[in-house]
Amino acid sequence: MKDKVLTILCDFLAALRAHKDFAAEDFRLTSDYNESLTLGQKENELLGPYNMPSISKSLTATLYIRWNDKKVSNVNLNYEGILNFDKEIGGWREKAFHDEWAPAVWHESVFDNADALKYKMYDPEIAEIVDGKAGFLFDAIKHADTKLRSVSKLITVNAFAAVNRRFIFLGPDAGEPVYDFDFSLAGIAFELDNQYSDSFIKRRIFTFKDIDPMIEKALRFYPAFSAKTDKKDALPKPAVKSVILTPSVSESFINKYLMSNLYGRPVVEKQARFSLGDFSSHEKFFRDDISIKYEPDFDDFEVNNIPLTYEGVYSEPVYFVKHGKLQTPMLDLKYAKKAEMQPTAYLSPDTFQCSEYKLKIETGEYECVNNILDDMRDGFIIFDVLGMHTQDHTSGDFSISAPHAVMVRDGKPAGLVKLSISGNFFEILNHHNTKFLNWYCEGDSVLMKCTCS
Amino acid sequence: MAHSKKTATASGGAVKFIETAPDGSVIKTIYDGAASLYKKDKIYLVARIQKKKTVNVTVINGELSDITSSSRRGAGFHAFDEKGASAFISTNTFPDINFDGIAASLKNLIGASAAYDIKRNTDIFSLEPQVNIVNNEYPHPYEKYSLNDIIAKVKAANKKTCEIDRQKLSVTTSCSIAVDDFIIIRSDGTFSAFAIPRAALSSSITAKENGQTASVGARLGSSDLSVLFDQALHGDFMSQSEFYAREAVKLCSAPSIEAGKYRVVIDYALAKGLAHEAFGHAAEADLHKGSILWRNDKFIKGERVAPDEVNITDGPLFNDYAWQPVGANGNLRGQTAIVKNGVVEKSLCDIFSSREAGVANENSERIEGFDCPAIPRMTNIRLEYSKPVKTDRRFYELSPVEVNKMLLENGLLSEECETLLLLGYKGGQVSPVNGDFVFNCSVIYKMNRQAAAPAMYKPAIFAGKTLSALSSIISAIGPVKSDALGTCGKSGQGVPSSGGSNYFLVIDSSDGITIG
Repeated sequence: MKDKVLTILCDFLAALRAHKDFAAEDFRLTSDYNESLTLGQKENELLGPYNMPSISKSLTATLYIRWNDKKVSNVNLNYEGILNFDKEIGGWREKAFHDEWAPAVWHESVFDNADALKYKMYDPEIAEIVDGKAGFLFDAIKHADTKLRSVSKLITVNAFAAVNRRFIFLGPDAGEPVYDFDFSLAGIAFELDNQYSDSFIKRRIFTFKDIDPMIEKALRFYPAFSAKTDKKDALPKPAVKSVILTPSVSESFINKYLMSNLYGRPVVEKQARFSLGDFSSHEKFFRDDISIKYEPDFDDFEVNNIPLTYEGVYSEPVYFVKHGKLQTPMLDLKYAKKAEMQPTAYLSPDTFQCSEYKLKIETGEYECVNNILDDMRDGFIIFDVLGMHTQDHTSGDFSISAPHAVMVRDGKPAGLVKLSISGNFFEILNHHNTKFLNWYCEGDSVLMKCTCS
Repeated sequence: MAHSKKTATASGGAVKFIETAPDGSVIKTIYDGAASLYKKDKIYLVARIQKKKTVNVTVINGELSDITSSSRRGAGFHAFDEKGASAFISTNTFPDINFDGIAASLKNLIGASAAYDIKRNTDIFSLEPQVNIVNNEYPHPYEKYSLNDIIAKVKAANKKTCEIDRQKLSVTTSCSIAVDDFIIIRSDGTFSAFAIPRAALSSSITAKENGQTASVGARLGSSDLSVLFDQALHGDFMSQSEFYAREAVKLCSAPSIEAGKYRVVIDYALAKGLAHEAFGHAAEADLHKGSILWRNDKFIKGERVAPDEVNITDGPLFNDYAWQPVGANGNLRGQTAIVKNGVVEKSLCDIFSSREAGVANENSERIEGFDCPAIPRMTNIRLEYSKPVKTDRRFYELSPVEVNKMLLENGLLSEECETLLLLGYKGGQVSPVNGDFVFNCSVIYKMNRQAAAPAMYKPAIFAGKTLSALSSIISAIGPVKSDALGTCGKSGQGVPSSGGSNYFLVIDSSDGITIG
């Protein structure tokens, strides 16, 4: 079907525009064709009935229609709905509704495909793997398994490769897609004894060199997971301690407490920490040296490079917080209209079929995590947390369990403890002791003080 | 409700179903093709066809904010060779299916993995063939109501919740409706057709006062539209939504509870979380190894994990949000007594995991959709205490003050430590390896030994060890209520789940349980 996708979509839109019931003043069709291959090893056993090699192929589309009577429809379609839309169009019309804030279809005035592809998003090597040449994924799983066997009894490794083609058609007379992107994604993730995990994901096929730093980190720190620690020695009573959040834990804090409070809908609908008025008046909520932004890094194959939102809005770099002051919420078209502000880059999993988009905290200085560790007399490295999704993002309060915290004494890993950590993330972020560190890349981990028990 | 259970050789029901079904010719191609693939090439096939339609209605602070509809169709094919190597292919092009092409690709995939030292499993060949054509009759079927009826009901629910305090509250009320039809075909002639419709009604409530915020929520569901149009069930939802809206405003100025050990009283939704997250996942056979229910290379059947009065059961309940009467491999699923009278009895397993676990196959496998592999998982899990304090009142009629009174009257307030009442499940997480769990609630009340009004506190994490929590259950209040719903995200697949317990469970203070 891969080669026929564009024809299928063009034929669909031609037939749709000619249909007697399609009385629309404008529309947008965002469509994805996806092919993927996954396989894995579960607890030392390669493949098996739960981890068999799996190939998936799908054509999906989202259709936004502004009807002549000013009602709107939001419809998710798949292959059959596209081919036999005449059976569905009555349902679309039935579910159309009046929405005072429904946005117009966005048409960028100067942007086109060539502008977007200043960085590569598609790796033909991934396409070959998806076509069935899966040998490299087997080799990568074996590579990780072999290197990690010395520290773990039960090793789970999963690898995947996916290729996608994204089309955006903008009405009312769309015959050809305005945007047409090929993009790909590949990744590998491992888990040791069901208690330590790490992963790597990019828009190109990964190499052993890519995954070796993750393996080295595991070889360095995972042995401490089984080192017995005298609990009384580790933390005789609840106390405020220095903790280093690993990149995955830092990201979960940032997503929960920053990203969730920056999305336009909760801001505008008064369901976020910050109000729309706070942004309009550029209220100061953070330290002077903290800025929070979305910025593509323009390196080829980086996941965080997003040419367009799913609504066809150019994803320009944007500061949500600059020098501690609120600038703009993260706005899709509807909430840009409701907020009377410009739409921004919008980070959501359906943007380019990935949930790994990141906000960056920009600050004056980043320190190397190894230097901080060397100097740490008494603290903890938090490798994972349980219950982050249950926390109230609006208050900033957190009270979560850290089942795998490595105690650091005099700069050295000194055994595993289970901690409860608590505090208010906004207050902690603003504290002068909180630092942003370089673990794998700039500012991807955090040193902070919080209550540990 | 009616269903038939027959051997595949008596599959007249399947033939009749196929003849009258839309896309019957394609289904027949798959049905016949699965049988001939095994005859010719000794490749055993499990094929799953899904047709799903959804509509979501969202109302924010009285305004209709969104209606999104979707349709999804596809087929997934899981193939096994005689030595137990397997491969999976899915496509959303159904009914445009090139069966021969898919069969050839499956053979190639299986062949490509033959060069490696892989895990093999031939147990699917021993699964009993069945024909199950399940037809349900619901009190409030989807066909009976218009979209306008649904929108009006969601708007009214939103308005009533907002009116608790229009100045301080922001309320999003959503109704998600899915009509999900499955057909499962196997090479042995198995043919199962069933629908698992579901509707969930939820309110997300944010209160703001004096620069402080608090977020809480309410939700209930059903298979049909009972959650909107059944007076009692919808009344339960409204009671829940209005109660949490009132408490959210007060929570903004509530203090935090001091971290420590307490006797805790949890509501049935939190108890569902305990049963599902902390115990149920460890009872799923693909997660046994290394879990708290696995010792000396075997499942700990026969070991005591809780007092005599505690039973934990999982299985589909009719018109429940997570109702699914047939496993994803096509055989009927019943009720599984995981813990009986405090002793571990059975495991939630499928045909691939039962032999290794040393227990009987319970057909406990489920899938999110046609493109997912089947894995063991829960439907509706209940943690039941057999000798509770009795009450004939409905759950939502019992305020914290009245719970305090019942605890006091029945000698259930601890003399040694404070007793906390935790209400509202906000999610949880568990490590199956060591049984560490964490749950969050919406609100905490410190019970009062003088029967005065309990003091309110902000939510705090309820953390502990699963087996400590189970063994510390000392009592319960009320009958079993099993409509606490959620979406289980195991292995990246989101499937509806539900469950509950007696109205309230009383868990004694223990070293393995902390609050805050």
